[in-house]
Amino acid sequence: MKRFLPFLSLLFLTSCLEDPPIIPAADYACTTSENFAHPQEDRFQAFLEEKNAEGLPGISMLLENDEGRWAGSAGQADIANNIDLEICHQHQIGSMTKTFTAVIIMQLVEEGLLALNDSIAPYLDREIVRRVANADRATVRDLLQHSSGIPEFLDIPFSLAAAEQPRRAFTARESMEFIYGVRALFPAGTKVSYSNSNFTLLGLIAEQITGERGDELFQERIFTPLGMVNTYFSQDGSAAMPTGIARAYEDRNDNGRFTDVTEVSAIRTSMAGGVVSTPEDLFRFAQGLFVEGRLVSQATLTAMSSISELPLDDPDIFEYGEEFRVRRIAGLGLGLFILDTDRGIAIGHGGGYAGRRSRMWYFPNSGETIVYLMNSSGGSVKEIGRQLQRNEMMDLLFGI
Amino acid sequence: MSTKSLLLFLFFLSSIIVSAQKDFATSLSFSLLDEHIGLPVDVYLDGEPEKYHFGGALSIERSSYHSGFYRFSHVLQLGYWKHDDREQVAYIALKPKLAFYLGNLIDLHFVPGLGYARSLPVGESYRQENGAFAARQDLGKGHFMPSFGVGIGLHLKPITGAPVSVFVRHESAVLFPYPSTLTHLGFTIGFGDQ
Repeated sequence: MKRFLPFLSLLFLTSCLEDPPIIPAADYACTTSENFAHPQEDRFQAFLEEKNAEGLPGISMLLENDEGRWAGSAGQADIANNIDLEICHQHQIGSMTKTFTAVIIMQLVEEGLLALNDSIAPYLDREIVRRVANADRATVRDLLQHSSGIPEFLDIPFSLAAAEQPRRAFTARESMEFIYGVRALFPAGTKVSYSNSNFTLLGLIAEQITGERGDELFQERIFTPLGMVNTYFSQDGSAAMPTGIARAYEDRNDNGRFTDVTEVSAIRTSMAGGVVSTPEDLFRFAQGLFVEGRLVSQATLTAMSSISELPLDDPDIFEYGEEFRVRRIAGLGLGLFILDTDRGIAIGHGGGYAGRRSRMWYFPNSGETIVYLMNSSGGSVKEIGRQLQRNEMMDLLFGI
Repeated sequence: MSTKSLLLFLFFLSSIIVSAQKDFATSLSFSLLDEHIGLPVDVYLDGEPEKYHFGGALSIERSSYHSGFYRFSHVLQLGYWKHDDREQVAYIALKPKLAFYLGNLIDLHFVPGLGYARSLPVGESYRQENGAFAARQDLGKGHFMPSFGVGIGLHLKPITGAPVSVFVRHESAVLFPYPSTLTHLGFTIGFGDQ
């Protein structure tokens, strides 16, 4: 009897399966700029292959510690077309984009076009100020450190709309419409609660002040100066994704079966999550921001990486536990997370997207950097990602 | 007893009860349906061109009671729809139907329902076996599927003599965690005493 329903399902549904897109291998051709030799490269490569064997479709990593710089990958960029994942393949990086947007805002502050304590209201459409809770009283700093109390637009109504039209890229203004009339989380400037709405509004503010589109700002102020030639961001919702991007796989039903969700587009044009990049380019970004001072001044970087003194709205979700080498998220700075680890603090950001997980961390006390991108998400991937973030990246960088 | 087993038990129990009744009429319905994820009144996609997610349903209706004014029917429905390139769904549902007749031509009907739905991805699924990912059949995920529909039927028998009616029906359903709406446009052919 128990086989009856699956059989019926198969009868109806398997005949309706669509073939995956055929993508020529030439579209995935790419190169890296250096050799990435490292004394421990065998250990690192074995680790990535172990993660692949544990169930990750693909993972790319670039790290730098006191012994050198290494990059590698394991798994596949495109399962259907049997393309191995390489370090030069692009991924959607999700919320790591927020650090890029924070850099733009801090550059505008350095240029005197904006102040952290400015009210955001003068820079936004009257409709948004009127209908988004706290938009009339939050400051630029509140948005950067997630203390605005403005509700999260990535909530149930948005999820339903995104599921209804999975290929649609929602503009910043459309995203804000989802929180019209929704109550504020708390009075502005009193607590910290992570929200994509904050960085969506920061994108609108940057565009309003400069008169330029977000993709132009990213290109002119970050990608070009740092030589990030494999990084891409477009606010044209109808533009095709770059060819040769690593496909994204989601374990939607938590059963170890992955489906290709590369075309899912909800925040593809968002300055809160839309950038496409490679580990190598993200390493350039981390170096340019944290080490070389090529994007903002040291004083600005210090401000960005200082933990907000405001209480967390939900502190429990930031606690990993004393048994982990990364014990907790110590707090939020301005467009940056700060981790409390057994090797001091780490600063950076993570990102999630349908079929994607990304992390970029820099350890200011000792100078290590790690960037890793996975082209999968969902149930069977969660624990692998958790162990990677809480223990294993520390083992890789600093030894066990 | 699992939800799946309970629903199967209810389907068969209902079929036995309906079949055992002496005075009943049977009819078959075919409908084309358009499915949307979202609340019945969706205010978030204003200005966006409508995109249809087509499917179809086949229903067996057995009317156990018929007065001049209303009729109560047991409906067993099989349905399918495809939602963009996201997922496809097949379902089986028991839907008691209460129809109120306005003269001989028109009925207004209410159709609550309980069903079992199975959603599968539209594209291939991949699973790791022996260290490598490969395309494998995905049996998808089961969902409990409560629903409620309201519709209007136009009966052609007084006009044409044929026991046929056409109907349009709007249903709200939940495939946990997603609420959906289904709009059916179809026709019913009656057998026996109509």
